[in-house]
Amino acid sequence: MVAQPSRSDQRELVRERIFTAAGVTAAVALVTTIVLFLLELFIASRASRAAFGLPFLWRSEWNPVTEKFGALPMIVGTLITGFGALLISTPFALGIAIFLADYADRKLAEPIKYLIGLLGGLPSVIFGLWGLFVLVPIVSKFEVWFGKLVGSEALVASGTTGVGLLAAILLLAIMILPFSASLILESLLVVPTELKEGALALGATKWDTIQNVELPYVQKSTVGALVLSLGRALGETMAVTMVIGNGMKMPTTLFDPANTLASAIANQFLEATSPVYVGSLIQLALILFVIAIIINIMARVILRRGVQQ
Amino acid sequence: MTPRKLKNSVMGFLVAASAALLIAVLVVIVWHIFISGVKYLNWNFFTKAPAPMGESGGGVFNAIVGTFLITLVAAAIGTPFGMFAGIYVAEHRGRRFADVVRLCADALQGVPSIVIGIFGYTFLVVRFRSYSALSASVALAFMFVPTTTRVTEEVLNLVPSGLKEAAYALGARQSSVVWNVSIKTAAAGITSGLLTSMARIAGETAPLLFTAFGSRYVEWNMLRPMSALPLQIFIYAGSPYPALQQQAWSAAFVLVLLILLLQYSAKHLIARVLRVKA
Amino acid sequence: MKNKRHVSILLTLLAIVAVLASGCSSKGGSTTVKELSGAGATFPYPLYSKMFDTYDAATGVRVNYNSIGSGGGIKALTDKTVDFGASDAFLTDQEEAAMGAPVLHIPTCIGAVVLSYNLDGNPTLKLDGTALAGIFSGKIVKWNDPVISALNPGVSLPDLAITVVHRSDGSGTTSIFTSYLAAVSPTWKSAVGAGKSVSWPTGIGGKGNDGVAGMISQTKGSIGYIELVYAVQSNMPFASLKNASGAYIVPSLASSAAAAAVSLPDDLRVVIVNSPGADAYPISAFTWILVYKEQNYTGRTLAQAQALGKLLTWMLTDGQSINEGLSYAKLPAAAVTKALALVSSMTYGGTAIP
Repeated sequence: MVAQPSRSDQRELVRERIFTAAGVTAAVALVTTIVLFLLELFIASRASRAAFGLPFLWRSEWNPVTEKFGALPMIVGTLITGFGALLISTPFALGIAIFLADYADRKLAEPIKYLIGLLGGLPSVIFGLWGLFVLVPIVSKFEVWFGKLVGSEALVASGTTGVGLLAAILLLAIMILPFSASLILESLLVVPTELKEGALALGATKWDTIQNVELPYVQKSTVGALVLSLGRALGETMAVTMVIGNGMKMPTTLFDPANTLASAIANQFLEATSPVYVGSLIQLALILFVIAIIINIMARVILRRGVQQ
Repeated sequence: MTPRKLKNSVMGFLVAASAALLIAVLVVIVWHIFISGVKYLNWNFFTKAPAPMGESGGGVFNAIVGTFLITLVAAAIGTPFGMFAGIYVAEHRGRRFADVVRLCADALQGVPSIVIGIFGYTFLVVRFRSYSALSASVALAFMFVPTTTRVTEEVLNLVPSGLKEAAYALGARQSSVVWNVSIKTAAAGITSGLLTSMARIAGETAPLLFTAFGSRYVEWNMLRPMSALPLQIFIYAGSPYPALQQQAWSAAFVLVLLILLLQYSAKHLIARVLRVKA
Repeated sequence: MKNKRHVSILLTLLAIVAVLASGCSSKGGSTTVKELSGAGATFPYPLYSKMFDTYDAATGVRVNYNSIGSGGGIKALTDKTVDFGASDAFLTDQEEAAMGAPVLHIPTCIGAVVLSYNLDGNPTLKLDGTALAGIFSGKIVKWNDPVISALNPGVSLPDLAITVVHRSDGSGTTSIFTSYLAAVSPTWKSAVGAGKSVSWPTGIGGKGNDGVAGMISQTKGSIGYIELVYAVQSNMPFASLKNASGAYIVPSLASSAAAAAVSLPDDLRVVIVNSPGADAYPISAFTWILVYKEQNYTGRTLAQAQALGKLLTWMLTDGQSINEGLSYAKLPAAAVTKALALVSSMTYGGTAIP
């Protein structure tokens, strides 16, 4: 005859059920959250979608007064700042990762890694603070000097305040640098030493080894790291908001004030009164959301292929 | 010197130079924050709320309390979700749904903080007709969960399968195995992950803009608008009064200290527990 | 392993404490309301922050006001996330429709919008409507332009480009300033018009009165429009303007009070720019607190309506003693009477509030 389950067995059974339920609930909640985000953003932007339809993506006028909105200036601003920051920071990220992986000894590497970690953990608003009070005046001096150099009054005029695309690109570059540097460093450290030693044994110089053995080995993961950094840059809000100047028109030069998708929302959401205005800002959020997800997926695909290598 | 040797030296120099430049920039930034921040620190700064506009004195006590409360509640809300999701994914490795969950966690982690803020506004603030610290905590919890899930999953995967198999062999159920064996073994890693995530959300501003809204008063009620250090820094940075700008730097300094404290606890905790185990 | 349990216990305890604290505070305050929230104009923010501080000390009721611009105040009131909104521009028909219910405009003070600038030596400049319209529409681009020099003989103006600073957010101050420009310049009126947000022909945008003040102080050769107090408290120079009677008036609390000596409608929605008075400063304006007439909406209690009424009454009476210390003019007696009448017309569930 089968024995009845004891009290403690019963309790255990209940615990087991609760435990499993908790796990499933949390998992489902995560998935639901993403779907919920998408739905909520989609629904909340309906006034704008109804008014402008798909052309919203390439309309270049953003005018709260006449209530004509279009995302193009913000998309352009986002892409320019994101790719610009990536372009500037990548050589330095590579440089410092290679330095830490192959050149620096333990005593030098540890404090540098700590410093990088420290900077990577700094909140965006603090970068914005530094950017506004330290970087922007420097950029302003440069822009005025450059404008005078090429004899362009317009450039000098738009350069006097210092806020604008250039300041945002530089600040973003500094911000994503620790991130991409540590990711690349991580992948460099995984390169098997036998490969490196083998190359050196064959008479290669240190740089030969780096160029022909290490870098090819980490190619895929480096690209993945860069894509992730780009994603970071594209979604960055506070620091960019504080130095990009909140321009509503399509920027014509790097000295012009502009807006990214994120900074436009941060700067304008609290005062958007009409449903079309609010809806347009939420549409910007939707576009940003979709871009972020796409970049994320791209990075994962690249990284997974890199690991399989 | 052969061309290869020359290239070797040149590249070596360039690499060192780029590292040096970067380090110089990093040091400058950190130093500037330190120097500017320390100037205004005084007892009032830590214990008083802001003075009326244009008057001197006043501090950021309201923001310190706000950061403290909002971050803790966000962590309290996010920890169970994050941990259990991480447990689920770790225990069901290889299953399709677990992959989907992992994908969603990654996707959520990549969502820009301003989008989270918008969601917090439309989903919570408008629905409940009130700006509140609680809606800010919920918004921050959305950012807290993915990192917690990932850390929990990774650390659980490090638990030697031998331990788990032994527990199963003794007749333990899955929940017992996970809770008493895996989690306990991975506890240090998970806790340190929690603290690191807390350090991250403590510095977030965008989700707070449309949810916590800010307040000049010291507020203990989670259902009311509340200030927080990142919010206060943002507001003061945009002010024309040098006194307030100075306060922004000092508030930034305090925030950095707080984050450093959390990160240090995260590392220190691992070290302590590992030493105990060894 | 003990640590994790300790930490999670700690976290949970703290969360419980936090929620309990909030539960206690909100339940304990069910009969007496201890907190009110408002949002909106940056124009009167220096005054409101001092007023609410004083009110807190006098009555123990805390008023949390967030200075996000008139547009933000209107949005917050429309979304019903605050007790009151604040705006220097009264509601447009569209905004009233969005509110869905009648809204009362309660004036609190009279302020002056001044033109502040950043030039070496901080000269005191004289400007008039034509010059300002020219500068802000981008037609006058240099400080030593003949139009400006003609108004300021004896002041050496540099050959420097003018950087116009305007508001980037939805602003009542913009509404006041552009109403003035529209009143003095027909070209401005047809080309740009007036409103909280306009399509500025030139210039850079700052957020809030404080943002604009900050930009002016950091940019040489810039000029922008801000409320008087912001200029005074930041030691920034500002121009005297030619008023409708032809005199050059320095903005001050006396000259802005003089602008309000006009006949006021009962609902107190009136623009007083370019006032005909001899001593009136031409860009003076009322600023209003906006509340719903019918206070019983989305779960508001009678106690909240009463607290709001008491605050407004105080702001119109005892609170007015704070205005002049901060260079805001007091409301003229006629305005106070009408405003108090408006406050008494607030209802809860259709009946007057005791």
